[in-house]
Amino acid sequence: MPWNIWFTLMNLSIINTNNKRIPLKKSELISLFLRVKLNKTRNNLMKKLISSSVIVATLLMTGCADKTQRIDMNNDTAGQVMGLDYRDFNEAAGKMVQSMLASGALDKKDGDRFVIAISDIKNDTMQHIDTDQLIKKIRVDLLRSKRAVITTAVGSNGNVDKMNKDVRKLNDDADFNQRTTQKKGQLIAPELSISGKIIQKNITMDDGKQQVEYYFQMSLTELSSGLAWWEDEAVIGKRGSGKSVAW
Amino acid sequence: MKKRLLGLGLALLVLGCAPQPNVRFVDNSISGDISVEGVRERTKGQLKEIEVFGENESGDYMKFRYRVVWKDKDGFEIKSMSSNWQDFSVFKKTPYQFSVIAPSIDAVEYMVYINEPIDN
Repeated sequence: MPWNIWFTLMNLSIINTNNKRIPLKKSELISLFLRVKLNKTRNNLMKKLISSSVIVATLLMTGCADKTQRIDMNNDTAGQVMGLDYRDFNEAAGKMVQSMLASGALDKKDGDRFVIAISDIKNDTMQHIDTDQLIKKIRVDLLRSKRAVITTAVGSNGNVDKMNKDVRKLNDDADFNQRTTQKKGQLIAPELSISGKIIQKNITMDDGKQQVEYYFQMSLTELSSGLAWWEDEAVIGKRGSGKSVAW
Repeated sequence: MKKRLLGLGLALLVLGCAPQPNVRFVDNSISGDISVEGVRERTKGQLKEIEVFGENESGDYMKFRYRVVWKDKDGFEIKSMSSNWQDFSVFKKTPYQFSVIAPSIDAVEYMVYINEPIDN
């Protein structure tokens, strides 16, 4: 029994029209007491509700938020995307290098290495792709194979090191020790060239789903004859919701 | 005599079930579904080429993954894209084979790992 409420109510009285104080009846006191008690309980309940809502909201905003994670590139179990991601580039580049090495096109008679230039790799997809992403992987593995070297003196824009030319301008510069400059006729011309294309084909299926096909096509051309010594194609197909956008 | 024959039979059984020395199952649960009968080797140009062959012994079309780790004469790993997991699938009760060419003329040793596919 909350006696403090009871005693406060006991002190209450009604002042009538003659300015006379009339104490409250017992029944009025009980009724008032119950009302005050009910209001207090309601207020407490509201306070508890508000504070617990604040805690839940804070937890939602902080504790339950998705944490940024690094991708395990060796065993990525995340779902596929309709566009091209690093897994697709790894797969396509890996297949191309395996196919090129297995074809025997890079077997030089004396065991020496071929000099390869990187020509154009066209992006014929609806996505913004830097084709160097694909070609770099191929270059790295071809160099590692010790069956070929890649020239950066000639080739498509992203594959040329302009320093090859710039450094030769130093031949006429008196500020440079001429014994340390690169002499004329030292650059090695390529014997082979790699070119390619990435094609995208979107198909809407009967059930409304979308099918996207990506074709990675590549050629190895012998530059003296213009004949393609090796060619291959890797296809990656994806099927997903019609609402998915692949560009 | 009977004991000898029994011993020989047991030895053959054990050897028959034993995995190839250059092939390992990452998850042994697939060893009941797929068998590895052998690994062929040859040299192409200056590069070693291997072909793993066996059979899908289960009654279902199955998907697997493989990767090959190549090492040089000193036992150092040679990194390459052929060390990434590659998918392969086999129809039920059907033989399979996949071939991989060494990533470098320095590659002399190898280990093939076969694993379950990633469901994605």
